[in-house]
Amino acid sequence: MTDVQRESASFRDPTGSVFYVDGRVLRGLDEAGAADYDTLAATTFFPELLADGKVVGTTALDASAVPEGATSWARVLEHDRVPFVSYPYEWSFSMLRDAAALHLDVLLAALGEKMTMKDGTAFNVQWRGATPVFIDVGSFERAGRGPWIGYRQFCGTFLYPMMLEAHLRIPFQRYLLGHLDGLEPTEMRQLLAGRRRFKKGVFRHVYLHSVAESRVTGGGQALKEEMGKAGFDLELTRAMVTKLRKLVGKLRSRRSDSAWSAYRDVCSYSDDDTAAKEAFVRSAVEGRGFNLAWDLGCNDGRYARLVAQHAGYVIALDGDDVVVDTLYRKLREDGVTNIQPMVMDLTDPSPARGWRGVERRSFEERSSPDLVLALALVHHLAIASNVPLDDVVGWFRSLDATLVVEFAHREDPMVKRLLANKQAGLFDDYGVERFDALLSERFTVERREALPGGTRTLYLCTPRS
Amino acid sequence: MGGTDLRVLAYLDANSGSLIASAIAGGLAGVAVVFKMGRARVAQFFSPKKRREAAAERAAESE
Repeated sequence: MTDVQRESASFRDPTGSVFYVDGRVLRGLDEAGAADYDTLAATTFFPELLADGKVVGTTALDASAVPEGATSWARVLEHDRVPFVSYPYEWSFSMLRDAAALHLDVLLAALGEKMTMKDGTAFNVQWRGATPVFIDVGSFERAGRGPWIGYRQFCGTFLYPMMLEAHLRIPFQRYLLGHLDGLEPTEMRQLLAGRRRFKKGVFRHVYLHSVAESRVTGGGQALKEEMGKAGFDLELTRAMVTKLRKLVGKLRSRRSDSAWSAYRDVCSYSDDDTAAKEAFVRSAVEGRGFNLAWDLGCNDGRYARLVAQHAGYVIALDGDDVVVDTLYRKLREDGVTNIQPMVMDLTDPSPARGWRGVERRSFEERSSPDLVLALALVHHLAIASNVPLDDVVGWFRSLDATLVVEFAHREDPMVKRLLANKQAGLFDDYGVERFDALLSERFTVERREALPGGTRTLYLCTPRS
Repeated sequence: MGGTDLRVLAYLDANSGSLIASAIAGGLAGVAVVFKMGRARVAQFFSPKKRREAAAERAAESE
């Protein structure tokens, strides 16, 4: 019997559903969905978007190739798998902006051939490395009259979070995590009141939007039809989406200062330390054929890049969204295809969210790495965030992967700085001997090496069974 | 019912305010459409009294 697993986030659109069979990603479509897909497949823009990698690879399966358990659908599509599923609240500003631009570009291409999209959520986009890819092929439909119905969702999940950053210098990630359906026009109007109302796009997409919502009620789908009859045609939708696309391109994050951005200037490594660390990491990963590596606290991505030369795919995580944004831009510039940057506070990683707590999965549920890199991280967790050292090592063990970890001794300048903020005596048990002992309880230490500066030690270890 | 009309059954709620807002966001031509939709909609937009009347009408319809 074929094991068919339904994608827990795929239930809102009743015309189709995504499910998994033997690791394959399939999408079932009902009669209405199949009719839309057939129209889509006959367009010129869709194959172009597929060829450009802007839309996830999609093939319609012949009836004979449809797996058992999926035969009730009118049409079954197979999609290429994205390497790692991430959510918009884990992206940096530029990532959200590029994803928004992609979504609108795809929509504009569709509008050009009398098709539109049923929604406009940021969850329609995923990543291949630092390249966004539109995944919701079920969203395309033949266009009717009236405005684009996804406009409100686009505002809530793309435009408003971007405005938080661009106009208020507030990182949007936590807001978006708390509002899976997007931020509300009325909330944004409160945040962008007074003179801020005249910042880019605010009057049109926030203020007037909020006013319209509070003043025009009732009608719903009938109103959409009414607007269509009054002359709101595809050309007007295109004009609106084109304006929106221009606005997205203009929004900028001006927040440039960040504790971690300055890390390289103030970090305590000597050049000898950096060279020794690179050599250690290289020898730890070379020829070992790792599939998926997590770089925890990736900072500028120096070691993620090194690992990416020897591993299939690297998830590069950092809690500082500005640092991740800089890394993302550099990766795009350099054309690196197998490093996916993500914003993640490791002391408060993405939880399970949404309907029944399974719609959006927690970070750790989404993948299991076979290599974990934790460089210049332990002292931040153990001292700055007060996580007991034993717990830190226990968490590493729970990941069940080969571990490359760096420990900064009490004498290290960065550790001294962190300890200076804490009450004396609280971290007396923080030391390399204790860390070494804790690590040895749960891992086989294959190699340990003190860096030339004398205040840091690197370990390569594998989990004990 | 033609294929186009079937599209009315979209799965997202059509939020009336957002539909009007997206029309206005499209520029003058979009605003013109809102005005073309008739005096009732425009009056609802600008007059609190008309909004109260519209709300009362909907409440009566839903009873």
